[in-house]
Amino acid sequence: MPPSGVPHDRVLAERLAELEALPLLGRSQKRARRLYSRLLKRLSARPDPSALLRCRLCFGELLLALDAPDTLAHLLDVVGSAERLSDRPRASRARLLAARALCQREEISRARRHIQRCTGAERPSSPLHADWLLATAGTGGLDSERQLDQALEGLGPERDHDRLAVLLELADRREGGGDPYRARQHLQSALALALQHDAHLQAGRAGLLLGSLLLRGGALAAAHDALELAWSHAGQAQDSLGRAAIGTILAAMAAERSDWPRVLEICDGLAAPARARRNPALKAQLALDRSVAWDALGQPEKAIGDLLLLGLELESEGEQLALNLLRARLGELRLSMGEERFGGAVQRALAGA
Amino acid sequence: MSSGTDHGRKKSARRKTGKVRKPKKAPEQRPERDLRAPEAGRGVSAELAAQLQAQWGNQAVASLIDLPATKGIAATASEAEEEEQLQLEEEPEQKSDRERGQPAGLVATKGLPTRSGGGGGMSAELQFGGDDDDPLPLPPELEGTPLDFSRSGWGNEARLRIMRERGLLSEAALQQADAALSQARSVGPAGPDAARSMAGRVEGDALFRSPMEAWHDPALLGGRGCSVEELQGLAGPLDGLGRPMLAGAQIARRARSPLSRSLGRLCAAAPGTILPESSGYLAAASRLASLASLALAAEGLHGAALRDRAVHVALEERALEATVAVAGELSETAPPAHRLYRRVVGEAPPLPPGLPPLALGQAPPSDLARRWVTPALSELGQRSPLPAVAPWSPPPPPPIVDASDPASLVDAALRATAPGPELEVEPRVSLALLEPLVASIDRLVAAGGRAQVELAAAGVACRRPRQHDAIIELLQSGYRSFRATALKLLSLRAALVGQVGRELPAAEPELEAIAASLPVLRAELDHTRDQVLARLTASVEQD
Repeated sequence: MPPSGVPHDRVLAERLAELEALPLLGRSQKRARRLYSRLLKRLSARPDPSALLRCRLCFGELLLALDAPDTLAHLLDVVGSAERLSDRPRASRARLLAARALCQREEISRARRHIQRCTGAERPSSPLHADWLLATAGTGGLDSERQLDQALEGLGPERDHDRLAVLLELADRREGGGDPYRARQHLQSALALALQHDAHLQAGRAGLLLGSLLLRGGALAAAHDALELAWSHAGQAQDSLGRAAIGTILAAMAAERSDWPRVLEICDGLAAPARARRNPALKAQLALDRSVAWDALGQPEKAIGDLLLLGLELESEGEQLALNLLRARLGELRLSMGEERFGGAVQRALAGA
Repeated sequence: MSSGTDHGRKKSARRKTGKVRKPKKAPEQRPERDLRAPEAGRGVSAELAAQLQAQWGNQAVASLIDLPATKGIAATASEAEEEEQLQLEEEPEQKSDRERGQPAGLVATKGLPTRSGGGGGMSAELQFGGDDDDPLPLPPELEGTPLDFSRSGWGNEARLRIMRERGLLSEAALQQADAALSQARSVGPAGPDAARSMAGRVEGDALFRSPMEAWHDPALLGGRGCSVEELQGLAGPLDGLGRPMLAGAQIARRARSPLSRSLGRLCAAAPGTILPESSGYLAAASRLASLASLALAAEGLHGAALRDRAVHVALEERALEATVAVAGELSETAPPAHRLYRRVVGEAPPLPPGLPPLALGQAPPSDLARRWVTPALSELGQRSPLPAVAPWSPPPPPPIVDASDPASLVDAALRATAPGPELEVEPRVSLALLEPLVASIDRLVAAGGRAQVELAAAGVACRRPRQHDAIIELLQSGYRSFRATALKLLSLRAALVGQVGRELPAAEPELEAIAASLPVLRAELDHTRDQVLARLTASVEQD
């Protein structure tokens, strides 16, 4: 509710301006979501289509940042509303955002058509120039790397979410272009930006990318640190994909150090993502890593128990290919332990020994 | 815990979608947390084992440990005997188990010591139903090759029969299950997928099959190490570890998202840190496949199935190998692409009832398919650019004698008195003069033939039973275009050779016209090849 004496319209206008100035990362993103839902309720009841349009455009940007499935439909709807109101700048901005959503969906030709209709945005003096650069770079032209560099220069603090995305993209391009040093710098900047905003999801992903880059470059200690940090952030963000990928790598690194308790710990942390994502390969990996760890710790019964239990789960899901790996592992254990010992271990595993 | 209304809604939705799931029992009989959230290293309690039996059948636990990899140790009977025994004993054994209420894992398994003391017996996999369908008959050239169709069935026949006997499924659900199984029987490669969709569980990352497609035989997977020496030469798509590596490389090349590309690169590079020797080959293979499937998932839900198929197509390296081999056999008759395709793939199994054959229209493939499938098909055929056409280059004119230049006059006098062939007043068209043009035509015709083989291989890589006829038609139409262009090229060649001996000035306009039409015909060939490739791409998308 507005404080007494302050006109309602002014409060709404201030909130709307605040929404437009919020970077869509971490804490600010949460604030933006709250603001949007409050503003939408109030603005929908008022005869102010222009303010409603601004609010909905902000929401479209939020959807794009979240890579939400309805992004494109919402943005095209905003384009239509803006054109009905003859608000060309907002129509163009919505078009450029829609073009980026189309690029994410790999509909490049459609994206190009939308970009072409935003005349004037290609001029550096245009307020939409950064949006134009981002959209055009998304279509993957020859000039896209330079466009991303230019966009990075033109993004203000209210566009930190875009800055972070550009840094990740540029890091990838630099690495592909044979410049891992600059790629690392970009990823470190992206990680710092995410941490600055308490954006756990983005911090986890940036840490994963950094860890992966360092790992491939042979900087194992630095990679390990980056991945451990990413593991914790991905956990806080409940990012099943990030956690699954990070855990997979960390488990391998722990196995290489023969740090079997850590392997088991990571496997525990991977169980939820594996089931949430219904990833048969990940489930098989979980069972195999556990079995190797228990075997190394001298507890083959537990190894067999885990394999049987996860094997049954895979069998029930019809995941024969992944199940074959578990069967092969049981075969290995059978060979290494000998028939009698293996049989006894199976009995004890089944009896919950 | 979901409310009763939610539960009812889910049930009715399941009925609508026709998905068949295992019947749920009362919670006190089978607590779900025990099955779905095993804690690390916790053993399987006797109580849980009993529940497992109730849920999964008599020998499900044993089927996991009755391994092909150790058949030599545990087997007491030949496979043929087991098969016979299966037919004779399957029903009574299952019945008697039910009557006795014996818990899982306690019944006799092949060669395993058991509580009940029975050591002999049949394969648990077979007893439960197992691979109860014979594999589809394959054309001879497919036997033992990776183009082999997978086996259908996967134990679902027996499972369905038991469910039917126990009255656990409604009539509609039974019909659905029958239809799905019938499809699994008739559609070879989709066997496991059909079973999985019957279970209604092909969702999430389970959609991504391509990195795991080399895990068909536990006997080939087990007992292998992960040292550098052992990993050398495992880069092929038929190896359990090599396949996810190659899948990663494909993803790294095609993906848009930096995360997908990074994970793809990690799979492709497979640094020693993520393949530690201590965890072995199997864990390494599963780890790389996990990362590859996560890389595919990181690209987003939109087009996920298409991306997986594209990776699958890209890894069908043997398609080209097989097609080239067949082309070699038939080289004397210069077989067109559709004949090559038919020879490699063989006859397609009949389509399941109600499933219409795929009609490949002229709809262009989407940008997504162009990004993922087209390059995969092109690379598969190692598509090289069509050879360049040599331009027409007339011989240099005779040197002009400059009367004011004494040196030029001396040269002319020497040429006139020099021994050798008499100088012609007018130069004539020789075969040597036409050689660049004739060679260009020959190279183009050969390239057309090579393109036919490559397109047939691409068709083989993306064939599925439903596309079989559509792909044959497509390759036939491509062949007609190629043939028309090749005929034009050959008639031009004949016309060129016919010019030999004519005076050059008189023949030159005609020679120039022929030379000018060569780039047009080259573009025609290229266009045909692109068209066929685009429609093959669309066929992968439409399936």
